[in-house]
Amino acid sequence: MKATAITNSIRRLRFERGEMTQAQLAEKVGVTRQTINAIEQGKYSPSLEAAFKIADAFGVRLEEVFRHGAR
Amino acid sequence: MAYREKSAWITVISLVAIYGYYLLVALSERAKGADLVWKLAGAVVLVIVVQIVLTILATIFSPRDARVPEDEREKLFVLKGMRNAHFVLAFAVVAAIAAALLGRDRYALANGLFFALVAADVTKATTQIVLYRRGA
Repeated sequence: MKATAITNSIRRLRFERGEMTQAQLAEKVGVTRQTINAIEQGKYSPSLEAAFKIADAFGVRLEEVFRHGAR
Repeated sequence: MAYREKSAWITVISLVAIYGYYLLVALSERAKGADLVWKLAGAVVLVIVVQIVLTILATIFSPRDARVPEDEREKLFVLKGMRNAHFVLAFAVVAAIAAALLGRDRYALANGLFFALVAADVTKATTQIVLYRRGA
């Protein structure tokens, strides 16, 4: 499966927040744990709404979580 | 394994096993009339019962996953599954119509159309499973 052009810092942000689990993040965002895993591994690009929810869950700005790979 | 991936497996296994067996019986015995109707009705009821029982078991073993509503990625998997299912359904229906026009009896047509529906459902669930396995 081709990786998306979006890179993310979800793994680091989870680590910095006391090793927050994918399941805990998934619950905050309102998606399944498998979807968080797919986003974290760059296999799935979330909708803008889900991306904002992930940033909100970490209390950071959107661009601190996601970046476009070409930049 | 995601709860809805389990549901897709339940769909594939129940449809292939039960309707596969039905079609083998229907084709080998050349069942017709009321006999065919009863066999088909029995298969449909059996599929419904098996799917309900297996879904209850899946929910019992992963109650938290079952409570999470379908998310955007899973909805995308369903849509991709339905797109693939549409192609299979269209092809199978055309094949059934062709068979009817070439002089097959109405029972062959009924079985062909039924097979088209089953093949489409199996395609939808199989597509979902493949996407879940890839993690896409």
